[in-house]
Amino acid sequence: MKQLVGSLVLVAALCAGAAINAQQGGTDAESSSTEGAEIVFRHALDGKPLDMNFRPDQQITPAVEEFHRTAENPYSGDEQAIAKGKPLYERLCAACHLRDGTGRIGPNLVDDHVKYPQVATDKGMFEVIYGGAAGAMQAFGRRIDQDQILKVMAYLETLGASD
Amino acid sequence: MKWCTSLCGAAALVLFTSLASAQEVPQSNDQVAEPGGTIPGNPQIALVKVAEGFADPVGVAAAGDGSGRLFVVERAGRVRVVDKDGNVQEQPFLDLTNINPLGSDVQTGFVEQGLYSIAFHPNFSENGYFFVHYASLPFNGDGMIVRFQVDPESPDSLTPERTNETAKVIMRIEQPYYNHNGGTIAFGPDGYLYITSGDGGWEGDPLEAGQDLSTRLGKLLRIDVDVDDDNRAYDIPPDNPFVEASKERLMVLFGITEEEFGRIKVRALPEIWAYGVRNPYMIHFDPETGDLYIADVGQNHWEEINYQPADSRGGENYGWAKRMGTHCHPLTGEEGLNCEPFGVLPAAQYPHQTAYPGGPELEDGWGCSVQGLGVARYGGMDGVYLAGDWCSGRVFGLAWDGSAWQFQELVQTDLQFTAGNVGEDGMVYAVSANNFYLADQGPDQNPPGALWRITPADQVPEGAETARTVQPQQ
Repeated sequence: MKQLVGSLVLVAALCAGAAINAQQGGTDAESSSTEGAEIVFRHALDGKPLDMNFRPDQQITPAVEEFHRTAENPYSGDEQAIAKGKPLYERLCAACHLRDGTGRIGPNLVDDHVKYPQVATDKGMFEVIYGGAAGAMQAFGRRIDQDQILKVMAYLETLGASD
Repeated sequence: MKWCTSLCGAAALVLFTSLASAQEVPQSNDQVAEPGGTIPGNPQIALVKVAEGFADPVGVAAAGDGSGRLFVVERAGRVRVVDKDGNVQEQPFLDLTNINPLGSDVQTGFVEQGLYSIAFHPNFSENGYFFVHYASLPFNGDGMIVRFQVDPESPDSLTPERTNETAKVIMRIEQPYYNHNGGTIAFGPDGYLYITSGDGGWEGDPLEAGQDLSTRLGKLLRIDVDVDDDNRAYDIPPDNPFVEASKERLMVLFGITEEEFGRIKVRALPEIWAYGVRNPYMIHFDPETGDLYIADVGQNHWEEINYQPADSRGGENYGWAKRMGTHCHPLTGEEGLNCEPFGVLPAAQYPHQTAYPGGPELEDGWGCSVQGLGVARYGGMDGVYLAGDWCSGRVFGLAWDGSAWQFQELVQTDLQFTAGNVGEDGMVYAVSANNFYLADQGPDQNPPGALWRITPADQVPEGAETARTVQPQQ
């Protein structure tokens, strides 16, 4: 059993490494194969693949690696991550979306009305925050690290943003 | 009967062209265009990236000297030169951050403060004069309009010494609050300098500046900067609309009609060209017709674009703060929409995501801060006023279709438009920034912005980088 788990971990690590390398290597090539394909993050407006390397000096944490592999936010429900995400939200998002997410210049994040339906998934939510959408919904991936975005997403869940 | 056909055809042509009229200022609410129209030519546009790496670009202008240069205004207080091949000169053309030994001369504490605009004198190629409008740090955010003169030996850059030597302050506009400071200064076809001034700030016009003729706030101003005597900042154009109103005269009590008495307004400032505007950051003259477009940023629910014909004699009241677009201000609900007209109506208006308190969230055709870009005469566009939105990234086109104004959302982009202008090649250029109302940013801290050329979609050069665009849902 241990050997099986060990092999699975090894395979997972290799895949993650390949995924990170592929994404950092350039974004023009679209991944069309479906076998073991790495997840391609796409811009909410036109669906084109996102440049995943806005901040080359950032630390790619284990959580970010796992997210690239699974498209599920490992910080979901994580109290420590949520505690880190809250001040980021309040510094960068609250000016437009308000502290409770009900929106002012920016749309309401916590009601039923959704402009980009993909935000119901972690992948889609990440794409909008990281790569931006239209206008003032900037590419926040240029301002904060991917790990920080995942923490903001964890905090957003507590506001009810991805229901 | 071929002779009849050609004669009848000619008659029909004459009849048609006489029915089609020139642009008109709307006289009733239903003549004000909203998104959903179709402008003549139904142009397809793309935005081609010309240059990037600008720190909070908030203005752009050409010099009109045939050099093909574009001058990009950086909010911190620098003007950058972009040559006709899109190369950005490393040395700024002008740098107001290093002319004052005590620190920057530019106040940038709030995102709406900084260097706003540059305008080149109509005879710049001979006299080297150019003008800027910026928030002054020493004067606590007051708007300074200053003239400088290029050293002919150094046409692409002014040294701090040259800057200080040639500085002539034309006007200082007191700005009590940190927002709604206006922006664009531009020479009209009449050679006068037009200045945009916001209502002074906060929200809802608490200073009641829009309708108050005794303040420069909330106005378009028009002055003559060609004065021989450098001890005088400017002259008042003799045909400014309130010159008669405020001039000193002997008092006569009788034998004057009420109408004539009504024209006396002793406190009206003679610099005023038009009033009742909230924050017209961008205005543009149509280089061909001399008409003026005023993109006036709105309050919580509506944005408006005003049209002023070239033969206007000034004095228009654009309605702020009693109206925003065709709607009552303050807008309390749906019942306030399409209020009884007050002042001059805009050619076009578009809503924020909610068009009135309690209104539904709109999907398309909305924005929150109109930034006029310039008049386009190419790519199927014949006198289209292009406008971008700072918040929604939309680009709209405003045009007259022969009998009415049409306003059409052309594309939505992921850009935050801050300004635009026509280049020497006649194309409309836009700048986009990555700034917004975020507490901890500064004019050099945000991700850099870019300069774009609005290009017909079928004329994008091979390999050119273009902005992400999506077509609006129909």
